[in-house]
Amino acid sequence: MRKWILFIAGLAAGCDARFVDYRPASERSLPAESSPPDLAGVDLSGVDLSSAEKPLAEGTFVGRAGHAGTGTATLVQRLDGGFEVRFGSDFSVSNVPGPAVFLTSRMDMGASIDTQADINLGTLAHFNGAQTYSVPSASVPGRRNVFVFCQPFRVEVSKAALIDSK
Amino acid sequence: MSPAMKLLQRTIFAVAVLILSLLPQAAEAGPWTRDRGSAFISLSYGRIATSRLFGTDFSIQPLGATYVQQAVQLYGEVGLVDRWLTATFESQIFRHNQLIDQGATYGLGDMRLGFWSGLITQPVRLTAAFLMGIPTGDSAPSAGQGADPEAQLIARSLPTGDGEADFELRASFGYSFGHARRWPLEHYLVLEAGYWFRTQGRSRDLQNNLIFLEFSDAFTYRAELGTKLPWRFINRFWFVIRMAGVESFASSIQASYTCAAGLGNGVTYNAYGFEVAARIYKGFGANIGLDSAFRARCVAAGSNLKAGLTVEF
Repeated sequence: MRKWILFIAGLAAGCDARFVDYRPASERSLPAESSPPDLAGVDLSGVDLSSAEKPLAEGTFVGRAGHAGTGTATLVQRLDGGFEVRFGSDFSVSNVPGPAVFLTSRMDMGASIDTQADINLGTLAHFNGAQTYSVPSASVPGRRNVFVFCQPFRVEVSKAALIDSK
Repeated sequence: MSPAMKLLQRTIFAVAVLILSLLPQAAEAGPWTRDRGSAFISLSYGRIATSRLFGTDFSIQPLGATYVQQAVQLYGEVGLVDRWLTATFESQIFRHNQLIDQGATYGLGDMRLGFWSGLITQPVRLTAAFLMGIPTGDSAPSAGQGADPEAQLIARSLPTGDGEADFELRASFGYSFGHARRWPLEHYLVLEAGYWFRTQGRSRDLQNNLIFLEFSDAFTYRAELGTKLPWRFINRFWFVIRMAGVESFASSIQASYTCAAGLGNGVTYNAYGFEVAARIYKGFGANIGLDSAFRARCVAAGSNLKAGLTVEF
């Protein structure tokens, strides 16, 4: 009887799945803590690196490919000169698996990631609410579209087209 | 004659013997409860491969990746009390989800236990069932400690279960007719309808914290017609056509989009299917079938090819 109780309890607890990584070794990145900033397309022309924190561009999320997406996104230059994209407290997006945040110069990501144009800002922290993503300084010029992208399945989820502040 | 030719000849002979020995095999059917001690076991393999997905708005969306799902399913039914109680067991004993060139997860899928009771046996069959879903799969797989963020995203996107315990009440109507040496030789019809009470699914958020996801109830149905055609040799097979579906009451906003895995809230599908089943020897049988959704939400837009072996005693 006790064996049966343990067996049923074990089943109810579920069984962890195993993962096999099929990506080529060259495409595997380092763990999040030690990921270096992406410095693709280094071009600092046109970037104001003054010391005052200020919004550089702002836009509103809209859903893509049947997904929901609302709220604001703002590209901000911090007091320390660094850059970040901030999602407003009104941000909300469909609950998708594998969501990542991209800053890109492309109008549409489609079903692919262009490692030259698209900068991966990291895994989406929350499906709702305010959150912040650091942007490598070199990635700011020319990139004004923020995407929430289902990275494993390569599907656009939501997009905010940022318009430069005047 | 070369060894390879001999092997080929033996294989052809074995296949010919197998085909010639085929006899009609009863398909799994809910309304016909089993006598005490009688049992039926099926071990099947199913595969879906697709680069498209039914989105939250029921439209077909292209994926930028190819998703392949393979599952080995064990199904069993055993009569406990003549007419009144048949127990069923259904489990994906191995489920393998893969994103080509990215990664894969594998492990035990979810399980379902059922209890069927025959309410009416003549002239038609009417059976009531209580089905219980047990979340034995992994709703939030991990790529392991030290894996990079992208690997974690890939692993998390490929659940092997929904993390949710649930139950369903189902009514199953069955009618068999024919039994003559002219057309129709033998037919059966199954009509089923159920209400699927869903609860909360255990999962993990993007920071790996334990969370509970709300699942909306759903209506389920199945209509199935099985027949044996009157021609010689062909009359040894059951040919089955069916339409089956799940209609979730979740709104498009509530429908969480567990991509192609089809394990999130709001999963809806209406699918048609074909199956051919035959008995190989005594209680042993085999079947092969194809199911394809024509209207769906949050599931892979690909056909499910199935093949299985059965035994009845």
